Amino acid sequence: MTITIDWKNIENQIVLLALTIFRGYAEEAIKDFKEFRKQTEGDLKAWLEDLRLGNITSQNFKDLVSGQRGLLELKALEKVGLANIALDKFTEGVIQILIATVESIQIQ
Amino acid sequence: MHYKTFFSLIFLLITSCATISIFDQKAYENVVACKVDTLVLMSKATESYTVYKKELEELNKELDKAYEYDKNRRLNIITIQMWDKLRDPNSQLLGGFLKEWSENDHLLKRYVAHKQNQIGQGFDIIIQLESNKLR
Repeated sequence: MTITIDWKNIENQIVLLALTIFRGYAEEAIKDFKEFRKQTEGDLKAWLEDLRLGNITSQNFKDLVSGQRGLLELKALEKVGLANIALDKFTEGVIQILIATVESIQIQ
Repeated sequence: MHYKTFFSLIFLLITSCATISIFDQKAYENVVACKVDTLVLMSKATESYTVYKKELEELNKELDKAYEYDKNRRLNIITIQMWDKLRDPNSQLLGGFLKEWSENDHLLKRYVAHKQNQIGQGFDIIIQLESNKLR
């Protein structure tokens, strides 16, 4: 009895899966941080303008800046979480590839 | 080793290696409801804290419930850390804002508006992480 397993095909599929998931994750993370930076720049301008007009106090301004640092910490945690999700997605993909392989095994 | 045993072992090994909790509809709904109720109550922060003491207690209870629900989910440490940061009274996010309101009695309108935007974004980060989880 001979069992034929196409290991090369499994390897190719796993590499492709890894490239798709992790490259997608990296691109999304960079895009998200760029958007956050742009948003923060806009917010800072608005806070400074309100400070100049006396609509907020200097303490309020400091608290808003501290809050933004807190948001950045939340963003960093989110990125860790999204990296974990990408990893789990990869794991799930590998399982699917292996299941498909088992189903297609030819016994001669 | 029989090929079926080999693949079964790989399967078992991989499935036991999840790194983060899966999506939970109830947790998602909890945090969305908390965000909406928080932003509504925050808009009252231009008025005296004493008038809204009861509503603030209710909001804290709602936040506690959402936190406890998340705390008891497996592999959910990142979401818990996010809640901790958002609610820390020594931070300048939600916890710090509520503390500030109680200490100052009322806050400036523009400041409240900026804080609503900032804290709303904080909730959005928790919501986005949850909605990205595997289903």
